[in-house]
Amino acid sequence: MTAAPLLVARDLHKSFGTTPALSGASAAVRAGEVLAIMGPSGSGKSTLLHCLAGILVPDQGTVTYQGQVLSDLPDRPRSALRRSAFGFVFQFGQLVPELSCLANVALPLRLGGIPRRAAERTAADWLERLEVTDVAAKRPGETSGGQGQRVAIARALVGKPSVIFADEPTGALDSLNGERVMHMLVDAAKDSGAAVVLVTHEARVAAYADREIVVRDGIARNLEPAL
Amino acid sequence: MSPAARPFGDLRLGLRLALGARRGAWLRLALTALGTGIGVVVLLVAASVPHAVNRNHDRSVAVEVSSEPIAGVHPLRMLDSSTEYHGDSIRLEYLKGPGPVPPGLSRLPGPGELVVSPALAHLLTSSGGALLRPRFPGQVIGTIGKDGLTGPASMIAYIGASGSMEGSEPVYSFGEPGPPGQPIPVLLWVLLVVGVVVLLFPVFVFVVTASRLSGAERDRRLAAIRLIGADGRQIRRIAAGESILGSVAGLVFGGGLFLALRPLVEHQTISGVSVFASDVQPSTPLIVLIVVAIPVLAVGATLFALRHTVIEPLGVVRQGAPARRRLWWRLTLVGLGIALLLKEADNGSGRPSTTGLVAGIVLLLLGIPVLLPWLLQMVVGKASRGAPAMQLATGRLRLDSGTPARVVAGVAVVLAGSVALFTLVAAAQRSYGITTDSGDNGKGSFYLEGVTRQQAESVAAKARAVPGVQAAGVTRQVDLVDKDQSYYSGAVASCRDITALYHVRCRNGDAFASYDGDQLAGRTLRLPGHKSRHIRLPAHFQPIAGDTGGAALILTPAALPAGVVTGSQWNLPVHFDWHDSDVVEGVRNAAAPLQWRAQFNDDTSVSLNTDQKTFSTIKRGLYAGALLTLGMAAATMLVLAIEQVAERRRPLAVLAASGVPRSMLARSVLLQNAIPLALAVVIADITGLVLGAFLLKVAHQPARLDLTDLGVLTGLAILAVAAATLLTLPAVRRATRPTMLRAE
Repeated sequence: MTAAPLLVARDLHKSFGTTPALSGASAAVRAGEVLAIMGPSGSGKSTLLHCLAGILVPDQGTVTYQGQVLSDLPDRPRSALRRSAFGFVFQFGQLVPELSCLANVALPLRLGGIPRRAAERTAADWLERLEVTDVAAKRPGETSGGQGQRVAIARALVGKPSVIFADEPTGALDSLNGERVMHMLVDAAKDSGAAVVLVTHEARVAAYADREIVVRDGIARNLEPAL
Repeated sequence: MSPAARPFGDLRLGLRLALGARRGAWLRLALTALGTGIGVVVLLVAASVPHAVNRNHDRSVAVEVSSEPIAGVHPLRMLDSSTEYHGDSIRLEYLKGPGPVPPGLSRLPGPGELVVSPALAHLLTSSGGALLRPRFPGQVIGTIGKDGLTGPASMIAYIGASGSMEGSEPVYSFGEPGPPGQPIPVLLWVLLVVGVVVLLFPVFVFVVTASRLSGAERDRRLAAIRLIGADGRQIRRIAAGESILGSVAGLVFGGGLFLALRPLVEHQTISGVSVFASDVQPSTPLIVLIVVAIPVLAVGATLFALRHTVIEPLGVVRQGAPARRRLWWRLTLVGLGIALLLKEADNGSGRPSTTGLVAGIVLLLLGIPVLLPWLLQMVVGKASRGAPAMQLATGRLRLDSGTPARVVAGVAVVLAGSVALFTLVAAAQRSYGITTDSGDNGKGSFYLEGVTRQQAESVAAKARAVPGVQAAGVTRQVDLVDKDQSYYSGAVASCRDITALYHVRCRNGDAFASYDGDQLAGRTLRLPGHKSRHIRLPAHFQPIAGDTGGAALILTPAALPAGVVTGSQWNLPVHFDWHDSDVVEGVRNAAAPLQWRAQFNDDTSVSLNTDQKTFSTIKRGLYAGALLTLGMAAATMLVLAIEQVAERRRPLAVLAASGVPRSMLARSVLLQNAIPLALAVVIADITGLVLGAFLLKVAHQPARLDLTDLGVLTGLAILAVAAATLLTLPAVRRATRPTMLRAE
């Protein structure tokens, strides 16, 4: 018997001004699975991911996390949820340039109230697991693309999230680095028991997923498991 | 970390982010610290004024003399006198002990000894004091200590005297409260208030604008932190922590600058008053207020700015059309300011209300930064046609008219305030100027008391020997009364002196009339105090043109009965070349040996009087303040412009790669600054002239348009912004290189 989905989006509608981005998208994410969201440019993939992550509130429809309607929550509890239960790996601009890589990884813990030393100890452990200990004292701008993404993965996992949201995580990397990053992301997520929701337009990246859904014109198809 | 401590943790994170910031943010920090520091200096100076005024008054009181007898105290004999040197007044105190020692002296100077103030000592020993030294022939035995001076520029000499000292007062003690000092003239007072407001206001605008530098970078940083779970309140606390750093740096810089510049105040004199640097000290409560208020204001400004900024996790602003700016509340603010100024201008009493005046000035000046964004939005909204460079520039301004409007608003506030202040200063200089009706000749006169004729003649002879003196004579005053008991003043002089002074033919026994005395021809006048003594005036007078020092009649000795003109008071008119200010100093030296028995009055304005010097000082200070704040504004514009170019480097590079000439792109950048600047200059000049007109009315001065300073200041503002814009061009050149097309 399949476990109940961890995160469920039902019939989401979202517009930006007069431009519709989602026109009835639905999706479900099981605990521990890797779900790829695919589709052409402008189809609404990222918008669906943002709604699932509680970053955006849909105009219509619901997003439920562990039975709680995420889309109805005000900003503060949604932010708290992102801090405690979710992790993020984006293509660009996700790390704080002014902080060292170690401080970046420790940041979610610091925001959650963990004292600095304890947070940095945990962060250092994750940097070691992702084989980027040598950039701990460097700033993100001083690292290579692949190193930066591994630091981002470490930050996404440091808080032991239930779900990791990755939006084109290998978009700025060459194919070799991209594969290495995807291996590390998926392996680390599975080791932690975290689900991964992955937005990509590349088939070779989607190949790492257990399941994929396709978004076209704001509508998501091929829903599994059954809602 | 406990929930209660979390806010401090967020503030600390903000501080840490600011410390680890990149170059653009360091520039922001530097500009914020500079602007805040200058504001802190102005605040500290303003906060020091009450203490400095009180200390100055205390020092004045400390040297006041008391003639109230004190048992057991032998009174000091003291006689006040004064002299002048190149427009500076020098107080002379002749002393004869034993008696109480004046404050600042270790002992009383004996005959032939002097104790002088440090400023006077410096002057006497400098090359510029060569013509002053003959008036101080004694030995300088020391300088007056701080306790005996009202200010560092005080020019005082305590001179040991001997002899009878007629006219001297007994002094039993020092420190008697005297009459209250003269209030600051309304015009000067208005200048001070406006000066402080005008200096502080643009500094505030610059600090707020500078806090927005590297704004996009900061927004991205905050968005990244939002993404990983910081809520809106945490983000605001983090942003507040970043702003605290700039304000604290500004406090430290400002405090240091205040201490470094404070000694310079001893070299400045306003209305004849100078203050010691140690007296320029803000009270402790005001210091605490400033130290607390500055970071609070910085945080408040940041939070207020963030109120209209939604930092979302994605950090991407999907821009719709910019919000329409409303005009009604902007005009209401300006209208309120005008109404307040009108009320103060129509105030019948001499001194306007401080609150009303300051509020009116602030609101009117505030009208510039609130009106400019609306005006700019309206102008660029309608400007959809034109050359491509203009289209690019107006398009960019339509997207974001707020930021450039705010920056040039700072320039405009400085310009408007400076125009208003210079209008006031020009009026003040006209109001305090002294005109002379001496024609080409300088005129003055000695008044001698308690001296013999021989001594008077000696002074006149020495005066005649001074190069540049045309004539000097010895006269005595005599009063004459007609049958209606009307008094007429007469001067008795020898024919030699009458001829030399008035260029008339003279025989002993002649009488001459000035314009006043002509009506007395043929009349008989009585000499008061000499019952049976009369003088019958001739039927026709030789007229005397020019100034006779108020005498209606000029008489030769034989024109009067013998023995009627006695006493030891003499008037010595002196005519001299007033173009050379050393001449009058040489004339004063002629009477130096007579000490307090001689006073010289210079009736010709050959140098600036005290208030004129004050206004020159104020004008120099205004130009320096205007240049400094214009420089700050230009630097802010430059950094903003470079940042905007850096943000748009890829689109600019794409345009350049597509064949758009770089010159066109450069022109669009120039126009982006020129359009807001042109509007700002127009508004600033109008506001400055209107404010100046109001303030002239408040200060009861006639309205008069003076375009010279307005032209100079407007030119300076345009030059400053043009320089900042031109310095942006290298950044435009770099941004349009093909290498900018590469992905990150």
